[in-house]
Amino acid sequence: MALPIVLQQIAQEMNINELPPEILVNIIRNAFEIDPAKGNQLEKVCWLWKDVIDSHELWKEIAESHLENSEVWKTFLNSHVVENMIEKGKEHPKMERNSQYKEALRYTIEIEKAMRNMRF
Amino acid sequence: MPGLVTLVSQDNQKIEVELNVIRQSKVISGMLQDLGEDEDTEYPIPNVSHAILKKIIEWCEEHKDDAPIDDEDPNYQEKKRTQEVPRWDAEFLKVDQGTLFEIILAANYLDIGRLLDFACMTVADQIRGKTPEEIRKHFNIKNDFTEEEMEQIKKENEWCEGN
Repeated sequence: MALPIVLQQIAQEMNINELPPEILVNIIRNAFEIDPAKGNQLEKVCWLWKDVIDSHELWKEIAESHLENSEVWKTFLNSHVVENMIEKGKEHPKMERNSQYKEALRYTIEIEKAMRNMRF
Repeated sequence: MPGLVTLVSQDNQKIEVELNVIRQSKVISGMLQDLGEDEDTEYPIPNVSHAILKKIIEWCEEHKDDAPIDDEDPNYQEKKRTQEVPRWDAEFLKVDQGTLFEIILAANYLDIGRLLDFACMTVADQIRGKTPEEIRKHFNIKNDFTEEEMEQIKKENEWCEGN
């Protein structure tokens, strides 16, 4: 169904960054796909996207999902170190928590890489 | 005619719609409960233009027999994460960016969860697989990072490149 030309022009002026943050985070969460590499890309778009990602702690979801699916972690490192790091993140001011979650994920992935290298 | 209500859009235009169609909107359902389902009553929808309201009604007509969703249900949340936009909805949402954002705002305002989800998934599909520069170009977003800030972010996230 085609929109009238005047309304089309008004509608086209709207920018994604004018959407309310709770909607923008919904979109970013969908595009994130709980993947660190994708999260990394989306953080680099602009300050607003980085702030939305930080304020909604999207890296926590990535870190938790990674831990749930990490065979290396489950098999060799089940000492709750990263879970504790994630828990500790809650003690930080809200806008700083995401860095804590990201750090927990970095720590996990680096250990996993080291474990993989040891196997060969 | 029984079973019809009149909605009045932001631009003061009236649209008649069947009750069972517009019940997809939790906000309008609430209004009908509060104000009564009276065919003489006009229900104002001040945040939605006539053109977008017509699109919303078109979507509701297609989905009038769908079961209501429970946004708090973890199963629904999980399904949402893995689900693709159904073919009819994907076609319906093939509109210009501005219209798509207007549909998102209207679905959010009228509390039509499934439409909001599908529309957000459609935008997310346009983001996936793009570099930050391509995303900025696609959505006309200004890069407001200084070179130093961008370097800092790249440095912080170096570890997750190529994982």
